[in-house]
Amino acid sequence: MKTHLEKTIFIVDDDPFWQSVLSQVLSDMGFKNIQLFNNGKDCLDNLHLNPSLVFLDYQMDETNGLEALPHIKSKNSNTNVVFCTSFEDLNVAISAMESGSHEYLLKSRATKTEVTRILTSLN
Amino acid sequence: MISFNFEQFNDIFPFYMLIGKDLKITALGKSLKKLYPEILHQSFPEIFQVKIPVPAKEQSADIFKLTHQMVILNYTEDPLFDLRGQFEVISASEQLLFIGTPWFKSIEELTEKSLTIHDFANHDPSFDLLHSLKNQETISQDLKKVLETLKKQKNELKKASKEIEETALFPLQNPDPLVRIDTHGSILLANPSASKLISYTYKNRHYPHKEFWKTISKELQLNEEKQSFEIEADGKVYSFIVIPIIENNYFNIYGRDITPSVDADLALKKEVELQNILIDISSKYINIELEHVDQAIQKSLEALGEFVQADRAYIFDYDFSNETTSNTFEWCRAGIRPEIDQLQQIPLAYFPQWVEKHAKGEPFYIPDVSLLPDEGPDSLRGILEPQGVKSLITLPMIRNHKLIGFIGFDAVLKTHEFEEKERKLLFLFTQMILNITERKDSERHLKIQEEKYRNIITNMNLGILEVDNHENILYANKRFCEMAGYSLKELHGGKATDLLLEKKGHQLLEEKRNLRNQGISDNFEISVKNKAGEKKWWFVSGSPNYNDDGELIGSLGIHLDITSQKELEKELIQAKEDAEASTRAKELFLANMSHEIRTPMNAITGMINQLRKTVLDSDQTFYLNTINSAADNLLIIINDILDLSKIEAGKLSLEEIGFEPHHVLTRVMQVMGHKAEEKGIKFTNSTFDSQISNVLIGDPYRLNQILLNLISNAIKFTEKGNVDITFELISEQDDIQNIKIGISDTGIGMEEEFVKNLFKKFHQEDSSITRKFGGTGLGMSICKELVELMGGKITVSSVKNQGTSVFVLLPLLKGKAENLPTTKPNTVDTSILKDKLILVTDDNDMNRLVASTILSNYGAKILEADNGIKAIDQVEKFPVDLILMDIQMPMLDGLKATKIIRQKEITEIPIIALTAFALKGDDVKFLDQGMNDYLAKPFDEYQLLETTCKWLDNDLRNDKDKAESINKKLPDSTEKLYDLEKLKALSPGNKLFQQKMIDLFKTLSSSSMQEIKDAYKSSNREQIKKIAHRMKPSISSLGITSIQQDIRKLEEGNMSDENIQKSINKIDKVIEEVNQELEHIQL
Amino acid sequence: MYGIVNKAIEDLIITQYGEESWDNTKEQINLDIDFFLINQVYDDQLTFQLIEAAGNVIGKSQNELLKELGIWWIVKLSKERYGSLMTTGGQDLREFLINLPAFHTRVMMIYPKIQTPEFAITSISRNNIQLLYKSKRAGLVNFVYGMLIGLAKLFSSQVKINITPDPFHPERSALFDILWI
Repeated sequence: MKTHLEKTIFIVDDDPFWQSVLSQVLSDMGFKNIQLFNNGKDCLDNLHLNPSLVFLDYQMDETNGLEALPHIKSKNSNTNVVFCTSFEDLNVAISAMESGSHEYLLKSRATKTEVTRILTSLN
Repeated sequence: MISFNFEQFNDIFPFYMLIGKDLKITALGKSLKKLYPEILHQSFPEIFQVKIPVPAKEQSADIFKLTHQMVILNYTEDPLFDLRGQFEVISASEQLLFIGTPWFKSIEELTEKSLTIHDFANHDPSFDLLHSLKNQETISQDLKKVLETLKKQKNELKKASKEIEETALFPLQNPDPLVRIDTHGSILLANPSASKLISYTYKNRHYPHKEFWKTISKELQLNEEKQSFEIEADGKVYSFIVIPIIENNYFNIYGRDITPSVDADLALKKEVELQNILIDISSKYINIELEHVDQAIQKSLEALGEFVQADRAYIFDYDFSNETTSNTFEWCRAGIRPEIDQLQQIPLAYFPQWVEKHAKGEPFYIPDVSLLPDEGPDSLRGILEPQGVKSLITLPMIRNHKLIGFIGFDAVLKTHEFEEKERKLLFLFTQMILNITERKDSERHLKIQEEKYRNIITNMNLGILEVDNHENILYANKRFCEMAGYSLKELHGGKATDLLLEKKGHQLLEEKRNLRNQGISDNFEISVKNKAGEKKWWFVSGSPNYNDDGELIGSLGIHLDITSQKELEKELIQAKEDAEASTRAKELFLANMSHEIRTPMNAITGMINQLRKTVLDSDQTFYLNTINSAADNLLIIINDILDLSKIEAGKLSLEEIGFEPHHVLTRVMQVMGHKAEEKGIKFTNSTFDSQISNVLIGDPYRLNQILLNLISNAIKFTEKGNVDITFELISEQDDIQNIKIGISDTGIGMEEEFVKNLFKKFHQEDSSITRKFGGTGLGMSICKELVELMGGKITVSSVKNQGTSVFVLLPLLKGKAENLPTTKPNTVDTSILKDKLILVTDDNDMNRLVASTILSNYGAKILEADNGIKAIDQVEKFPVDLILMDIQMPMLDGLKATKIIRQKEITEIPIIALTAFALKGDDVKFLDQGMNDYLAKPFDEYQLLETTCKWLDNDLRNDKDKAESINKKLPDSTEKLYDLEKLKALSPGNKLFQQKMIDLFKTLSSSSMQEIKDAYKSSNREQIKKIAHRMKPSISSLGITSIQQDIRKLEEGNMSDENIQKSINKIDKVIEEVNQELEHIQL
Repeated sequence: MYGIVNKAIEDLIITQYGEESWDNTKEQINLDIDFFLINQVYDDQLTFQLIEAAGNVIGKSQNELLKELGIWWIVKLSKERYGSLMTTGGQDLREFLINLPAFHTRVMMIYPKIQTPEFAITSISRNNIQLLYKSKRAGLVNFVYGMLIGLAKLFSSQVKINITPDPFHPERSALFDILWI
């Protein structure tokens, strides 16, 4: 049985800055297996790696978050998807939740505490 | 014995029906059940009808008897549903079994019932048969389509074929022979006209047509574009053109009948001859030298005359001013008598029809003179017959729509019909003659003009200089040489600049050369030195010089010596400056005078007022009143003098306010009334025109002054009798009323001589009067000046010892009640002065005393300074509330001091200028220098209080403060450029992470900025939005708050292009700064 | 193959890509035939030639075109001429697929010269059917794929289709994994 820290996590975002920020927070929390992708297509192509958790950015070129979401869910309905966005737009978040995202994370609020809270609510 | 279980049976017969003895349906196959479950337990005969076999007369047939045959049942609830099958009796259970299958006509019916293959037993062929049926349908539809397509194609083919036929007919119908031969001469195609030709004659040899084509084919080349040859065939001449068609290896040959006719030949010959003559003549005339024109014309007349077989050819000029015509050129055939000498100045009246025809541009043609009416020696016939003319033709010469002459040809020996062709030729000849004479005339004209201009240039008073592109002199006329002092030889080839100019002039000419190069002409003055070394001033009009091809070859200059004018100009300038200086001097004097005089006056009146406020006994009061009255008088005199000076300097300004003329009159009468009474004379107002407007616009104070002056004079010089004043309306135009005010007295009057000089300054009839009557003698001249300033006129009439009348005519605008000035509140709220600290700056202690005393009476505290420097000092030391600043002070005058105070950022203290100047336009000067207001000296108590209280008023000052604080820039908030706290919080203590993030930010932000700028350049708003969105989080993480709003705006993407540019620039700048700082950061 | 196939290609090209494209296709292979009779049997080669030429003309790969043809076949052709017939195969996609082998057998009866491929259901679950396709002809896997997609459209079903080619005969045999979403 894998410990939860060994689980595979995907960070899908076209901003390298944000990728670094989030991966640092997660690795500080102890996660070891973090994969980074720049767009939705790359993420989908690698779903066979079976991530337990996907941090999905909303606005990207080549398949944005909302488009990729159903595909991720259909591949494995157990995968948890957390929607990341810097749009303080409730509508986007709601659409994401409807499409099967479990949570959403505002980039400006990305802290260890916030991420921990999200992870707790998922498990 | 085969037995099936239930399932098997259903599989095999899914549409079975089991009917009980009672005719009720007891069981259904699964598919039938699926279709119509309601059938179960129904009575069979009630819901089913047997279609086949066709029921017999007796309706109620026993269905149990319907075995061993095919049956078709119809379900009455659904008339479209039939079942086909057979009945079997199950004897054991006494039941009737129907086994069958739905009988559909088409597969659609099947699917309508939502049946699928599944519902049918596998062995049941009905499904496949329906499918097969469908297929056949489709195939036959398909075939139908094929047939249609075929039909269409057949029709198109028919059409195309018909078109080709028609097209093919075309060459067949051609009357010219058309042949197509291959390279060996075999005839591929030939049209009927070609086929008709049997024998060909080519190059004087005969060929039968087949042989001919074979022969000719040898001479033809496929690769030559066009070839041609001529043959004779069947008595006709043909010209053939050969067009080779390389790709198909054959020749298309097109023939043309070129058989000439005998007559045609001849006519052709003559045409050719005609053309030749014309060409000959015209070529001669085109290039002819003008001297040879006459000779050439003569020769042409001869050639033409011969050609048209005339005996005489001539040219005449029309002279319409004299109404005559004269013969200018004549040619006669040998043996024919010339008539030119007799044919001069023939009156046109002799042959009006001739002239008329010519005037219309038509030729005048007489085929036979003998056929003309015989009307005597002056008729046409009478003139022509003696000349022996039998036929004639004349053609008009019209140039520029004017008839200038004619050309004519006579036949003398016998009559001659001038054919069409001949007439044409003659007409053309006429045109040519016209042309050549016109050229001759214009050349002559040109020569004359040239002469004229040459003379002008040579003899004029302007110097002409022609230079090339490098200022080398090409030509100079006589006058220029004189002006320059050099001979033409000395000038020619030299440089104008070198010879005549000093260095400054070189530069100017350089500029001018540039202008010429651009094709610009202009005028300018230049200083030169002539050969003798004398300095001269020239006025030059320069223009670029072009050759006939439009190329710039230099410039032309026309020069005029203006040395003497320049001298004059200098003198005039000097004079003007002197005059101005003198005026300025006068002004200064005036101002000074004003100040010097008013200052002590101010003190006197001020002190008088103060004294009055103290307790006085009756003696003191009397003395005081005397002093007061003397001071008043003095003030009047001073004011008069100053007024005059002001008027002279043009510095007196008149009011333009509404006033009531009636009121003015009443006041004047009040003031002067008792003076008259004192002298025992009557003072009346006999007339006041009711038509005069109630309100007029003008200067009531000055009007008052004038009236007082005149009335006082009248009273002064009248011992007995009366003084009368009248107001009349003379006339009215639009808004202006012309008022005439008359002041008449019964006084001593004036001599005529005196009247003349009345308005001169300082003039009184005799000096004794001055002493007797007092006065400076300025009054009248001031009145005159004032009246004239008002646009009016003043006139005097007087008779010695009888009296005087003075009339003042004034044009005044009509006013309305609104124009009247509102009465000023007479009281000033002086409470504001209490405990205020006021700085009084004036070099004169008297003036200071006056101001201080008044102000301290109302509770103000006073500081004094006697010059600007001390004033500044005081302001810096003490919290002054208001400054009174005298303007003219030693050491540092008031204006400069104010400027310095303002420069020290002391903007809230009001500074009031004290000035005796108050000339027109000075107030602006004060306000410009930082003053808030000004008081004219001598000011009275009321004016001083009013002004100081106004400026001390808290509200005013507060508003000013507010206004100023608004204008002051907001101090830049102590905003940090960026903040790493947030970043540090993400992974506390992790310096590596922080450095990495910082590096990342630097790279990303620079590249993103570049992307945004590129996107902006290519107007890609979507891209800008995307990049801005991307940058937002990192900017937020680094706490770069100053641009967060801008990034957000860019992300929204609703700004104008201008604002986008601004935001981009701002963000760019801030990020650069941040990155630079991050460069040097120590974590 | 029966002319109906070639006719379908013609229809597809003309309708979706224009008459000119079809004319160019014909020109490329120097086609003399003006009209395909649906009931006539034409050389197999002709059909493959048409596919190749058409693909060149319209700029799509042959596989792409075959797929399009498959979809076209079902959605356009069958619906128009054989609409009812198709629905006899089943009420929904699942039923149809299950009936497919039987259906195909019936079809064979009408076209005696037809060389039909083999269809077999290798696995059925609630939302998944695995269909094995085996043919004697090579190169038509995509055509079948297209037809499956067309069928899904016809029956308004949302499916995801996975193709696993037969490792030994990948050009004429494949397993189609049809997943209902």
